[in-house]
Amino acid sequence: MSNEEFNSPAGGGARVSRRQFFKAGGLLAGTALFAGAGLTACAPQGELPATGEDAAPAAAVAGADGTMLTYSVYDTDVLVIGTGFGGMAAAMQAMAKGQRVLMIDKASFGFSGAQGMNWDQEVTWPDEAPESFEFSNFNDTLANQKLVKNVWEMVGNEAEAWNAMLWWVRMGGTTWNRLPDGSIENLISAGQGVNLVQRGFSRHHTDLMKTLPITVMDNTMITDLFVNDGQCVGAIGYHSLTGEYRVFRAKATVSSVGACCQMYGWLDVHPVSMNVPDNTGDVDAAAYRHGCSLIGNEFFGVDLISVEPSSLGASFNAGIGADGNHMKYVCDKDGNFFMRETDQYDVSRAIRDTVLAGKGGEHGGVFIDLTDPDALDRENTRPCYARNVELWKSEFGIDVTEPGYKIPVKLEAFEHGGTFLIDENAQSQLPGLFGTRGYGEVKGHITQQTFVGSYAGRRAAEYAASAAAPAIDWSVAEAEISRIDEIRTRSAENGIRPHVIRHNLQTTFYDAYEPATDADKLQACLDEIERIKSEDLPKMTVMDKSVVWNREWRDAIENYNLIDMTEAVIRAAMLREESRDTFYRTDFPEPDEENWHASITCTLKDGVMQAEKFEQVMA
Amino acid sequence: MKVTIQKYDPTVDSEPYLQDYDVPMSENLTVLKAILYIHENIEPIAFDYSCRGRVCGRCAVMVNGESCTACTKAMKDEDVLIEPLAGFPIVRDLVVDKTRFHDRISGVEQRVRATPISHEEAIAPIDYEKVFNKVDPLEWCARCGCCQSMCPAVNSLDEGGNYVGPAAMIGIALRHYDPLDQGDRIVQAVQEGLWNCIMCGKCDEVCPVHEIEHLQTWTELRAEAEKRSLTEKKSKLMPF
Ligand code: SF4
Ligand code: SF4
Ligand code: FES
Repeated sequence: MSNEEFNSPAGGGARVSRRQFFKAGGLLAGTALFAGAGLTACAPQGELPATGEDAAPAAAVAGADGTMLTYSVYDTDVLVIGTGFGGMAAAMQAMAKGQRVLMIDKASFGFSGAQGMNWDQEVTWPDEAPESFEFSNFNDTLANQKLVKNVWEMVGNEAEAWNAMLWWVRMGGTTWNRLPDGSIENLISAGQGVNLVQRGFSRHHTDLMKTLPITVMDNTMITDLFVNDGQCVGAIGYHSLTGEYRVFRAKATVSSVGACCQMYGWLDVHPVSMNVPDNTGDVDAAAYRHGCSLIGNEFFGVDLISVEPSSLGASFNAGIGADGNHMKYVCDKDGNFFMRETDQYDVSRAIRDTVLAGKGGEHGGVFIDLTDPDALDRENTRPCYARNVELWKSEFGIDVTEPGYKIPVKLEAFEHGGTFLIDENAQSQLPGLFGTRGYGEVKGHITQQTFVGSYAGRRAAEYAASAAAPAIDWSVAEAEISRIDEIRTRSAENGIRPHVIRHNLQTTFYDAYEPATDADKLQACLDEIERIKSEDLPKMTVMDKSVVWNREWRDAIENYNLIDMTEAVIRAAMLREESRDTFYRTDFPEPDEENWHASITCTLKDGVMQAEKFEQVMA
Repeated sequence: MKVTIQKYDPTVDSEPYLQDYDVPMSENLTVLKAILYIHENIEPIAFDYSCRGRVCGRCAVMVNGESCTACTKAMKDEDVLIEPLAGFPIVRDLVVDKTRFHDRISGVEQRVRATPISHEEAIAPIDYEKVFNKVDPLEWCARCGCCQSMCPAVNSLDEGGNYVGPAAMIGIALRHYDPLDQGDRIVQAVQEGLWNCIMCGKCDEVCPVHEIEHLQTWTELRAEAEKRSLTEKKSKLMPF
């Protein structure tokens, strides 16, 4: 959205000497700082008023190498970080409640995160609003039933909220998956106006967002929340195309950053996850460092995807996989179609048991055999996988329908439960910070975001409307900018490049977690995490010193987040002495409903992460 | 094999330059994997990717002068030249800025409606063959820009600015087939340069989404336009 910024001399102007700064200081503080060129260019409501002279920041801070670093300040009512379904729903609802909304996207808007893949997504599709609402039989595994109830009451009582969701889905502009008779294929009718449909091509929704008076600043990575006096007053980050540091001041902040699956091993170009490299838990980890609890950490949503050609990196959209209701052609190394006898809601367990019993392949997973002439029919293979058969043939010369060919597949993590905890108002433990995912799970299923995102957006808007503009201590933002700049400029003896640390963390974690985990594996992984933190991270240095599109710098910043997110998985997994759904410990292979119909939180206490049981909050 | 990459960092370089790297051949090597190999083992490269499956379009580059999505492009054991996607402003090395291109597609691909879509309309069955099978392949467009960068009508200086380009035209076609869209998409297609396309088929050749049939789509739109005698090329934007 902000190509004007791109046209400015990239990076060069961002760094001024102390002398230059003082010369330009008055001008900067008065005008340029509050009016981003990209903002005025891209949205009708984009002209953000300056917010009073006494609030003007110092605008510069000493960098690690002695130069002065400048930053720009952007001001809004509701800041939404992340532009997936949850973030877009939140932004739309906050706007509908009359708030100025600024959305932040880590990559290009419409092309970032899991939402930015234009693919056959399963989408929750609201129907006509139901007459009455029952919440007890829906989402009963979520840790906070009060939140679930409140979301449903919003649906029932706030007609505007439901109508906005309907508008969103209908005008979004996909035709949804159709049965041969032309009707919409409704995968799950959950009742109460909620359905699950396939072939939601999510990019249409970002097109729709561009018609709304909502400002989007993209290619902007958030590195920390802006916290003053125990209150979230916005966020801090930088623009990856120019290296400009950016401070966002907001009355309320909604984080809807994508689930972080980047710890899930490494396969040539990507972890064993169909998720995307943008999602590294940046805001979740920031919230954790500010005292918020992380919840849902030990649970991943998993399904089967091909791991060869490995150069596709567990891609959903070029790979061939099997979803929960397409398990017929999954087989072991001897060609037994073992899933045909298995309860389909226990798919990951059956697959892991097969691998643990030595009936998997050398790749550590199982196989899909699509040589049967019926195998590629839509009821047997999801069309989004079937379309890749031809791609494999034309690009790699692999014919999966050739007699005897078995596709090596593994469980990949498409979702991760770990994020900061939210309460029944979708607010975190940090006043002013709202979330769209942290409702916790007592089961590994991950629910969709449009409903909770809508709810979070409305509550955040109400909070923003009632909140007085907080007093701002700019030195907090400046300390963060110094931290980020030091990561780029750091030099260390025997420096380690970020990707080396990253791949070590990924393979260490993966070996501990797949195909199943136990106390010893978890302890070994935790020990290595502690070692990485104390020995490797201080020596992490980037070879690339540019401020423009510096992938290594970004990786280095992310590594701090990823390590916290991974530690939370391990510590929560250690505490949960049982197995359920996709969570599998061989030393405690059975579910323990009596003790573990509960979530686990991980919280920073006296500098150490503590895992604790979090009992389900009943409505 | 020798992999040559065009490098350019606007903060230090006066102009782009070519750099050679040695990359070992491996099974099913893709362009993306080769770039990542150089980045991790030789020196940093600015490049972008996300989905590894030709749906996000972020990894699009030129390989030996032809556009492709690096993630799904298999490499042979031959020397190769990798450059940023032609026709787009370079951010750094292989990263380009597609903001204007993307905004243009978003603009034309909005569903046009006089009235809100009712529940009955939203759930009405559609003709599977004639409607769903027309719309569905076009949905997969990654907006990667591969077609745009190679299209002679887009890149002709004579024609400059007359043709919106194949990617946005696919968006217009999608809405033309969309039963819930009320816009006049044939008028729009002609306005945006339907007849300026020279039917060379290059877009179809480089598009990583094999189910999109560009030439057939242009032919169908043109047949509809002909029925209404809308057969003019778009003339120059400026009369001089
Ligand atoms: S039509 Fe094909 S080449 Fe063109 S933008 Fe879409 S996916 Fe890319
Ligand atoms: S067929 Fe038309 S749209 Fe496609 S590349 Fe040729 S001129 Fe461009
Ligand atoms: S990485 Fe998404 S298209 Fe290549």
